[in-house]
Amino acid sequence: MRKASLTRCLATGLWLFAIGCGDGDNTRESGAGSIAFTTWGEEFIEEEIPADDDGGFVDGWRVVYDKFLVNIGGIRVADGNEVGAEHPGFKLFDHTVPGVKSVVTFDDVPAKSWPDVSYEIRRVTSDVELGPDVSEDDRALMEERGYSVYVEGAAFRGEEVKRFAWGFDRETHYSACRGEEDGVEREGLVVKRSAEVTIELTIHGDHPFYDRLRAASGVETALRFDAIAEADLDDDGEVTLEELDEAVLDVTRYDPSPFGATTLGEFVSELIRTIGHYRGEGECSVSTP
Amino acid sequence: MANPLRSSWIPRRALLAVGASLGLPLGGALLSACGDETSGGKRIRLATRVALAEDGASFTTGRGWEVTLTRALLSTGPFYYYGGEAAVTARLFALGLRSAHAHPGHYDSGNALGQMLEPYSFDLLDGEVTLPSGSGVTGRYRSGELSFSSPAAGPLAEKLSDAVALVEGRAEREGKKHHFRAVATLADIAKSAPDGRVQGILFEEVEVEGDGVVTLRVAPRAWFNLVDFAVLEPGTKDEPALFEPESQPAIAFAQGLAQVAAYSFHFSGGS
Repeated sequence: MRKASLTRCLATGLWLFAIGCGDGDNTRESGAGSIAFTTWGEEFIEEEIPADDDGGFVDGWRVVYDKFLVNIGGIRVADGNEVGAEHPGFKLFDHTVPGVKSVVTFDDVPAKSWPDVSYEIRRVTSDVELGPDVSEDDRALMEERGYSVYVEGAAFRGEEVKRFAWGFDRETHYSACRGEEDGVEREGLVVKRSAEVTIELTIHGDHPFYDRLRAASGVETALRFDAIAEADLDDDGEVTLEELDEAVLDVTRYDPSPFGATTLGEFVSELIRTIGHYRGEGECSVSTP
Repeated sequence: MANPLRSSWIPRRALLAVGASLGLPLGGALLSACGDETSGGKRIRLATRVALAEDGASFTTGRGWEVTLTRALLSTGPFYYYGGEAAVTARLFALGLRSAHAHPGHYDSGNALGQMLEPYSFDLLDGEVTLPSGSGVTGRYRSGELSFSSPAAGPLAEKLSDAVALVEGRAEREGKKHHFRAVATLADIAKSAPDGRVQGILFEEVEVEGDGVVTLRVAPRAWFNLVDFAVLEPGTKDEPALFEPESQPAIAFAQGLAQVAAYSFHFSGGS
């Protein structure tokens, strides 16, 4: 599966070079269409991240989320300096709530290719909208503590249970988003006349548990929880971020290259900024807003 | 239950690294085909030097060890210079911010602007080292890539043999002293940096308008930041304790060699 995907990715890479020369999409049609931005946390957040060696945890743990709050907004659709659609507002979602959720819909967007699509995950403020089944208490918790992302849940292995409730204040700007549409990799999006294109801002709930900050070709990357469970120093069944900050990174299980996390807390906090994706597996460039 | 698409995530991220590593040859071909600004730049000569960063030979690691280096041999391959912004962490380190504020990110190398292709070997503690010259074009330089090369070439090829890094020194903490020797091969580093290529290194942003000198500044602290010297024998100056293959010190050292925070490129006009 991974080799096949890598091959597909290499093809994608070549495609990305090809679009640098223009792929014929970057032409303006007459008329206008709509863009519906949605967001989804996939089965990993809605149901569980299983224990298996095919995309799940390799050390026997499985994780179930009870809350996965993400504050999404700052959406911009552009072609260089030409802005096709922009929504500066933010909406707080709980991705454990099943289903694809609407973020914002833009109508009357000129029909053409818009290669520059970006969005942000920011700290919650008092004026954010609330997504489906997100409570005022959720919003208050996020705002009071300055969180942009908050995850709560438990990991299970046999009789072992480790709970976690982690809030993160990192803000992230996702730009130059690219993803697959009808089997073709595309930078940004294309609006077609009198049609609606749906763009899913996909949230990947497995990322906080990866054992690398950046994957390397030909090197296995895996989901792990063992070291996190071991960080429960007071053995009270809950692993806090403070305990993760005390846990020196075990380089025999984790690789922070090419960056410099020295504790599990730093490592997980850095990974949390990679949860934002584009149209499923699509990628964006990550930076600080 | 599991998202069938999910298992493709890592290979995709791997692709980003692979794509970037292929950036110069493929990107270069693309740029030529498209007639980008690179081909419009004036060709220039770029002398190459390597220097130890300030306090580079004596530092305190993230695990509290006071380290003093006595030897730091490296075998390097090609250097490439780009117009794309450096990986975010490198910029933050350059600004003196803590790594806790850094984050993983996708590195877009952007236009290829310059290169030095000759493999070479040197001791970082010998002062500023002159490497073979490279070439490039005028433009705004913002990031770079260095690679490690094996077998070694150049003045220290015999001492390095198939190693790409051989570093000796002493580490002290709480009254305990360890004399050590750390050795890494290309295969060791390739576990963290594909093909031994460290990408997304900060090139102190500059508008290059003519010939000049590119200096690679190396800060070895990042190589040892997570090394647990306590597991080593004390060793002596003449017989230092070796980082055994697959041991914590050896893995941490190899990962450290792949860190962007250990390196930065700087340009000065004239040569």
